[in-house]
This record gives sequence, C-alpha cells and structure tokens, in this order.
Amino acid sequence: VAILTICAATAYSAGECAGATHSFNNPPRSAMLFYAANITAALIAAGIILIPGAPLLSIALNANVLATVLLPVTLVFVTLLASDRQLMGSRANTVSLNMAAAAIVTFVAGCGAAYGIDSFLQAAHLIPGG
Amino acid sequence: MARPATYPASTPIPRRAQRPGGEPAVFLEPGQLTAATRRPIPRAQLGKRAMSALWALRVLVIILSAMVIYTFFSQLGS
Repeated sequence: VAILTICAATAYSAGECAGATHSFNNPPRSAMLFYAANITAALIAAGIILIPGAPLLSIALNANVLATVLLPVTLVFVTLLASDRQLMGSRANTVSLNMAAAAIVTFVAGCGAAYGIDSFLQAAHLIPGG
Repeated sequence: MARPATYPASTPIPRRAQRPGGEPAVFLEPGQLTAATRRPIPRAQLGKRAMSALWALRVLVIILSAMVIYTFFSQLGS
C-alpha cells in the first residue's frame, strides 16, 4: 500500500512541478511523465529491497525520520494556503484555527527533530545507544 | 469510458460553485476543476515574521536532513 501511495505521490509531484498532466484519470499516452515517474519510483524501490544484505530496517527507519523532518514544511505551506483570504474566501482559517495549526506543526517538528537528533547523537557515539 | 472534456484556463466557474457554502468540486466537472486549479494566483505577500519563520524552517530542515543522512550512512558502515 505504501509503495503504491508513495510512488503515485512522487509521480503527482513530478507532474505538478513540470506542469504536465498528472492524474490516473488520464490515459498513459496523455500523461507520459506521470506514469513514467510512477513506474520508475516503484522499480527503484523494488531494486533497492532486492539488494542482497541491504539493511532494510535502517533504510525504512531513516526514510521515515527524514519524512518526519520534512513534514513541517508541508504543514506550514498548507497552513499558509488555508489562511489566505484571497484564495480561500470565507473558508480561510480563523485566528484560533491558525493557533491550533501552529501548535500541531510545532509539536510534529519537535518530535521529528528530537528523533533525528537522538539518532544522530547515537550514531556519532556522543550518547550511548539504546 | 468517455474521455473528460478539456476546458481552457479562462473557463468561467459557475456561480453556484463560487457562493459561500458551495463546494466547487461537487458542481464542477473534472475538466473544469483542472482548469480552475491551473489559474495563476499572485505571489503571497508575507510579513517579516512569516519570512523569518520560513527561513528558520529552511535552516532547520537542512541541518536535520544532514543529520539523518549521516546517521543512515554510519548505520550502513556498522
């Protein structure tokens, strides 16, 4: 499920960045970049997990830590978009909603940073590992 | 299945989709929705505090990403 979701999200982002058609509603012929990025991402992932002796746990764990570190960026931009009155009109975030969003973003960023820093300090042997 | 019609970016959005409480995605056809999302919007005017926060976020993300990448490669070696 994760491979399907992440590959589709990667392909969607590639299409969005390039300004190309990016939807499963479109046939492959009219959305070549979308389908090519989707299949390429899946093939790269499959290739990596088939490497003999690859540290899969470390790959999975660090990929998730990196995703958590990058998540606040998305959350901040979503909050900025949701607060934009010109864009959202009457549906724009109120002050109380923005404060709740800021608290959530701070909490998520703090958790991600704590996990990333703790892993780094253990890897650098600055603190004893668990 | 019929191929969805394509609409130019200048396609007007129906009034019922614009009124407060109207859900654009419900009233618009897929092609109209795509055309609506392709409309360019002006660059957001952010205050000094928001710009400072975004720069702090950039620095934080770069430093933490470097830490995670270092951790990954050090775990590969051990």
